[in-house]
Amino acid sequence: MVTRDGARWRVAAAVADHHRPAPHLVAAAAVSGLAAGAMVPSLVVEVATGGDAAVPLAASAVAMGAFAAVVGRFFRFPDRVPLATRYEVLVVTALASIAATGLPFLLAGTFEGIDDVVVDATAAVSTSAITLLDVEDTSQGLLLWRSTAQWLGGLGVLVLTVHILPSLGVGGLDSGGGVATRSARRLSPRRGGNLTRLGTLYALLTVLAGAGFLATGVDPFDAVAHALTIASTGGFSTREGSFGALGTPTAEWVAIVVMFLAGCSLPLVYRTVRRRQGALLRSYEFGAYVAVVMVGTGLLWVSHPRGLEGVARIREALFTATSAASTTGAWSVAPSTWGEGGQVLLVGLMLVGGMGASLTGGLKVVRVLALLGQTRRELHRQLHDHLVQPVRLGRSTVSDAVLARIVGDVALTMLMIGVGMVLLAAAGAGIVGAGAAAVTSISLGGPVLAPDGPAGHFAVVDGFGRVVMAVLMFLGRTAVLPVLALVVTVSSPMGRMARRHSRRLRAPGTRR
Amino acid sequence: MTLAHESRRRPTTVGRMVGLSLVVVAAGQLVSAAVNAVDGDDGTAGLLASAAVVGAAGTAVLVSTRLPDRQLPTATFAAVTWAWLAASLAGALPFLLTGAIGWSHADDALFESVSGFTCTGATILPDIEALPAGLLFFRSTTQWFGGMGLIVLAVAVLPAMKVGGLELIAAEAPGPSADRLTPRIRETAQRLWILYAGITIAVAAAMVIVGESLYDGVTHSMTTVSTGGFSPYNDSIAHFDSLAVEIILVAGMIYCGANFSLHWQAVTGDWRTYWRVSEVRTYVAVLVGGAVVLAAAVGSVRDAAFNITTIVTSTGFATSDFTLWSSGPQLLLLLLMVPAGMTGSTSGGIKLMRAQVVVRAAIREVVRSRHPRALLPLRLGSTTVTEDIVARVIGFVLIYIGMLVAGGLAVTALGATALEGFSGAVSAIGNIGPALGTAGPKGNWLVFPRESRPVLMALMLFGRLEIYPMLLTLIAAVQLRSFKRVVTPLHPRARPRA
Repeated sequence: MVTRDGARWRVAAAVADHHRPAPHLVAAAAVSGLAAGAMVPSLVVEVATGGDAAVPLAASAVAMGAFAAVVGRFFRFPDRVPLATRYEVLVVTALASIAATGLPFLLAGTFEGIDDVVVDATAAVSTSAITLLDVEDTSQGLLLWRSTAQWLGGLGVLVLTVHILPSLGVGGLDSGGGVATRSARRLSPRRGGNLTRLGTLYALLTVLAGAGFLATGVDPFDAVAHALTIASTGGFSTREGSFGALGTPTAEWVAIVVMFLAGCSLPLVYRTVRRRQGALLRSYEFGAYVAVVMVGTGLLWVSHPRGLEGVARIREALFTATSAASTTGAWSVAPSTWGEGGQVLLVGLMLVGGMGASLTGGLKVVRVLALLGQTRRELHRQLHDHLVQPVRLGRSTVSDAVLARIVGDVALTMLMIGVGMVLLAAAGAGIVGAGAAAVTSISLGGPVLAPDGPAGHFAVVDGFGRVVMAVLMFLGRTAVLPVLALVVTVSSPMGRMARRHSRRLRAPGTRR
Repeated sequence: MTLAHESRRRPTTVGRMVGLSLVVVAAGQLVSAAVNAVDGDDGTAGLLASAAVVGAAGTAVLVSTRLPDRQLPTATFAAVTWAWLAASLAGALPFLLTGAIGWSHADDALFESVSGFTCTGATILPDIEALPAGLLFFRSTTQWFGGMGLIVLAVAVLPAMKVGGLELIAAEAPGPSADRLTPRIRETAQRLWILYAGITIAVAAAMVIVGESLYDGVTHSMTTVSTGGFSPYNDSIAHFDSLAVEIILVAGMIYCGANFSLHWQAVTGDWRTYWRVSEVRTYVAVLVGGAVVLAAAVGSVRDAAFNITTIVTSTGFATSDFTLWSSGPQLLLLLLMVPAGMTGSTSGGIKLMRAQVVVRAAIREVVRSRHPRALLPLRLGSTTVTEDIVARVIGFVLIYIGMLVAGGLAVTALGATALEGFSGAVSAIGNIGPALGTAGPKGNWLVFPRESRPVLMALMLFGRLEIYPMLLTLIAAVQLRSFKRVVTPLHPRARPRA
């Protein structure tokens, strides 16, 4: 029985009280069930095109569906979930998505070893565009499944934004946890239902992309597959030459618009669309995001790309800059067209990423702006020792607690990049290649500065290097902090100290 | 009370410091001329001429200025910046006047001089040994003088100005550090210079004892103690091919990459001070751990130990060519160039203590994301770091990294490859010396396009002076205000604290 409580839908009665609460299992099962359902179109396509992966796809769908059904029969998701459990659920969901994505490939024997399956599945789920697969050699159904998996990965980002990021205090929706800017205020007077709203927006964006591609003359299968990956800022393609191989320049304009929107803050877009306010346009962060894209386009335009003139040059520069800024990673022309300096710029754009609470990866424009504001304040404080000056982004103020959180997050990301760089170099990448691979992996971008073509990064490093890249992608997708929080607080001295403090705070009768 | 004839002099700290630095540089040039005359190379005339010019300029400035009675603390920033700039200009003259570098390449001479006074050690000379001995001696003295000024900055002046959280070293290692500027600075400086000169003599003596010439001993000890890294030989330390020399220099580098204030306390009796400071433990751990990892990757303990020491202490001497190693060890060295050595020493980089604070702040945020209401003070050893120091450290690190990235992008945009551009920027702002690629230990920095070298010079100066002095002087200059106006207090009736 399905009921509605305000904006929140409940599946009741099938969930009785004697169902045991098991958040991790239920989350995994939910992912599993969703994946099973989403696999059906791919199965249909595979059967229709007579590919040989029909049986693996069918088997995976059945297995995952059965798992979901069994778990749903006996377990339920508790109403209130403590913070640590929420992080654990996040990690479990990500792992389950990777497993679900990889299962058909494993059964179909597309890759040589299970580690390659896991690595490519991680790339799909984390919406990064670096891939091992030789797409010309793979059947249509599997290609569609990969793109669907990226789209579901985008859904995962939405869940992250609504449920996890507010607890982390940065870049989520409004909650007691502290929001960086006033632009991400509540989407509606009623509690709950944010996921539905944002999900609808996401679905609309995908439909818009698909319709646009179809209208500009892209082949239907490619249109659907690319709509799924462009809207999720994933960037996988069904062609070897990425987006450019589709052959329709007008489709690129559609893609530019979609990628740009995907890089905007979804709550802001929702408010602009629903209430017809200028929320998005008035946002300081939006101005900065537009500036980043424009400056990137301009710099790419002057960097003497090979063989591009006139309108094509502007279009390709804009496409590439938008693709990098939204960390999509789909390319219309090969990245090497832009030269080494241009590719360094692309890596930088990916690292900066899109707006906060969007579908993109990277550090997010809002955090970079907050850091710049803090730098400016420290410069002033060097002269005026006791200066009290808040950090402002446009009309909002960023509190010191949030700033500390941002700094910690960025510092951790940089540390991961540093460690990842050294490990990748040890695994066989060149110095610049290792740096580019590490940065683009954790920013969930696409292949840049890769030695020979898009699969370059993966091809150069050995198995260990590929796993390192997969770990970086995983960390980038799960916003670094939750995974580290789970790891660090198990037994470290700081964890022990924190637990001592928490226990003292939770003791009855204690007042803070 | 000012005397009658003194009242004609302008009271300016900047002028005083500039004059002092010019006179000191002139003295160095005079000594180098003497060395050149003894060695019999030509170029003595050029060295004497530059000594005369610089000495005259310096004396003129000194005679017409005096120290003001009350000085604003931020005048120190301007004074330090201008002193270093003046010294760099003065240090370029000998190269030009002796004909070693043509006047059409005056920017190269300036580059070499800046690399000297900032104790970086990056060179644009394609053939070092072709220069007269006295000129090479002068080159080493530029680094020695740079280190002398730096040691006072790092131990006393900058912590008092609370630049980038350096006041923490006073908390961790109480010793010669100034809480009030003028009276104690002179005393602190004298003590530090005694120690500094002592180590220079010790290293030089050790080199002579193992059989090298006095000239070699003195030139190399001057650049070791200042962790600069200039050598009169094209092959740098590989020229000696002597394990004894390498051991002496490694010991010297390790000692001079550590906090001089701790050294002073140890020398005056308190040996246990080393182990009380957490930064020392980090320093040792980085050196030993890095050496072990490199030795495993490269296969030679001698190479690994020397290269890790020279990079972490930001010296920049060269034995083997680490650009021939595989990319993993090279990247490790490149990443270690960012934190580099300890505070209170002549090393460059962000300094290990700040790196410690940043890492612990990041870990604290991880714990806070799990326990949002926990109270977690940040501790370094037994000292608690207050939140304003943490904020200062983070602000400094942000500006440093920002300059590094901006510099790397600028150099790459002006024509260098990505690898050389970014590694050059890291090396310049950290005052290390060698970069990766063609600008490595066996190469020189001529590989950087001519237009990009001013950017690298600027990075060297910014990094050496811990960014804020030069940045604020630049902002004040651009805004065409003197420092007094920039420091105008917020409340109209408030007065600046002297």
